[in-house]
Amino acid sequence: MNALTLAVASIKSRPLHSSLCTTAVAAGIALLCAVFLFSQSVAAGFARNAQGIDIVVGTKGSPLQMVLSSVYHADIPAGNITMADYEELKRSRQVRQAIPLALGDSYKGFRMVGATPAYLGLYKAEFKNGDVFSKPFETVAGTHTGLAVGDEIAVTHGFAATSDDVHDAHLYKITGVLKPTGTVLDKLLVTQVESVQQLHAGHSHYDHTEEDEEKEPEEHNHHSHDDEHSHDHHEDHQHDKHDHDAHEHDEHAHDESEHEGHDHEDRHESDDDLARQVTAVLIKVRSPVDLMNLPRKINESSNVMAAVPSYEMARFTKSLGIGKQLVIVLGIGFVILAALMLLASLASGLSLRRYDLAVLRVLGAAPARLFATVMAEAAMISGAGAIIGVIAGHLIAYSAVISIESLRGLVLPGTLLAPNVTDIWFILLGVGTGLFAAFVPSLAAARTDIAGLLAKGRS
Amino acid sequence: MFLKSTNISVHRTDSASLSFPDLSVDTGDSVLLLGPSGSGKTTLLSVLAGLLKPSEGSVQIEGNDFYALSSAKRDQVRGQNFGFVFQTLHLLPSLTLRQNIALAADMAKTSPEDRRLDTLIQSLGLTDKAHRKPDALSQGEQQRAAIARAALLRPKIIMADEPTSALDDENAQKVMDLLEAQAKDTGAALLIATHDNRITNRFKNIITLTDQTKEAA
Repeated sequence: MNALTLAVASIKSRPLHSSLCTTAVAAGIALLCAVFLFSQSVAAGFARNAQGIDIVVGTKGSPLQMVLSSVYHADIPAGNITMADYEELKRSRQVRQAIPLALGDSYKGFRMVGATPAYLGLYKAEFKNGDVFSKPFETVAGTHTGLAVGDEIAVTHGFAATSDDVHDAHLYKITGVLKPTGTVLDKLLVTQVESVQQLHAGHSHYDHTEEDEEKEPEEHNHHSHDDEHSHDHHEDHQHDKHDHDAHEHDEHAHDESEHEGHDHEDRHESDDDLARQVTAVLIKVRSPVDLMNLPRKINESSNVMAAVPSYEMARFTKSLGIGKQLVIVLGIGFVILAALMLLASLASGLSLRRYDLAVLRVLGAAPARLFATVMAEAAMISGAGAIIGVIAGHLIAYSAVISIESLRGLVLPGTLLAPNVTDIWFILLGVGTGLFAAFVPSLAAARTDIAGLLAKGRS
Repeated sequence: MFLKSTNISVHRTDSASLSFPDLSVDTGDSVLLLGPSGSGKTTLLSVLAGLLKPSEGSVQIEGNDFYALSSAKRDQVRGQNFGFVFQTLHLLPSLTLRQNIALAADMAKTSPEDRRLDTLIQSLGLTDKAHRKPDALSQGEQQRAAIARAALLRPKIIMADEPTSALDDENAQKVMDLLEAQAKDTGAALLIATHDNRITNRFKNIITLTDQTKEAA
């Protein structure tokens, strides 16, 4: 029998105290571990999805919205820019790669992305079946879409899975299905940028007579997204060109918001223009210096906006940081509380066990051994608590990620269940806290005045 | 001579200082330390067992100054050579009867002879109760377990502090029989500290302590 056996016996003899202390340690460690894993995997997810994308260029508006919508496909795009803008960017000497994106449609909630094959290269995508698109309306499907090569699909307007606004003029045909990439690509459908442009160009002609004001993808987005700046953009660049817009308003005499009023104008100018527009351009620069200069140059001199995803996401996560700090403070509070509970429990246990400890000394145990016994008890309670806490932390982080819809594809939930190197640190933190709390009681145990205790006798 | 004390006195901050008559005990001896409560019996036992350094005087174990040893070494010598029985039995409530007895060996960092633990438990009629916790045992069973723990390692001396004062006549004699039998069996000296006059007739070698707190007052 050693210090551990004695400690186990002592823990077992006070099950309520022991389990309460274990629970308190577990709660604190679980919170800290969950916050850590969650923010780590979100940050890793952000980085993984933005790999190879140095700069995003789109219509003027909120840079964060642009990054979220065109890199992470988690928000709604604010508007379009012209193909001319794209071509100008592409020609720039500072640009190594420019990928145009045309967004606006979806299939059962999976976004249809008009792009170039280089877009697949960003995420090092590999084909499970089939091959890349080569003709308009050929499509490559991400692994989560559940589609197979040869499937033909009709996309709907907007990004909601429930939309009943179907583009049935053209069907997309799946030519390839990708292997899982652990990125947002897994839940996307990728086609040639021309497919999306053609669909909308044709669509708007065909749609005009129907007096449906909401068929243009980007304008549709405006409805669901209150976005002042993109609105301004349209005013700046389109109203001027079209003197007939007021007239259009009157003629239709709809009870519409201004947004919808603009749709009219866009509609009329768009016959050609929509075929000549993209939502955003993903840019890879040639050198780090270009990463500094190019966004400034674009923002100063043109009617489009450039944003750096890493910078925008750093700002974004920083603004989320207050919530994170709150949970961390809560977790630390729990750990401190657990330490105090353990201290109180050990101290009260010791006053009950003073005679037991005196007996151990009389039987030949050195003071160091009593110290070790009490420390071992604390180490076991806090160690069990820390291990439970780490496991619970993984489960909490996992359930948080799978329950937040917008994180799907961005964060890989599976990685949250896998053991992490930092688990060791959290367990050490828990055990360390326990040992710290146990230090004074252990010292008291070691210094028990045996002769005095024996002389007084057990009360 | 196994144990010898000379000119022991203990100054305690909370009470008057105590001084004790010289004492020598050899293996096989039976010595009774008789005195009323307050005479410092337990204090003297603590000093003799290496648990309390006396203010003056010396304790010799087999001719060596006990308090010249390091405290860890004293603990070790005590664990291996001394057996203790207390008035209140001091079995650990969280351990089984068998674990409580085995504790003597564990704390002394040694192991008893082969099968010593089991034969001891058997000879004291405790085999059926070996895996019970002290709470589930009778007073007599606990008493026997405490004596077994003191005798487990075949100590050179068994010290008992008021082993009988809480017991009725019949049980007091039974406990004394058992202590004497175990001392004889292991060849240990027996040093009993008590104020219980019922057992004085068993001893030829009696050392009387007086109530020194009253004198001082």
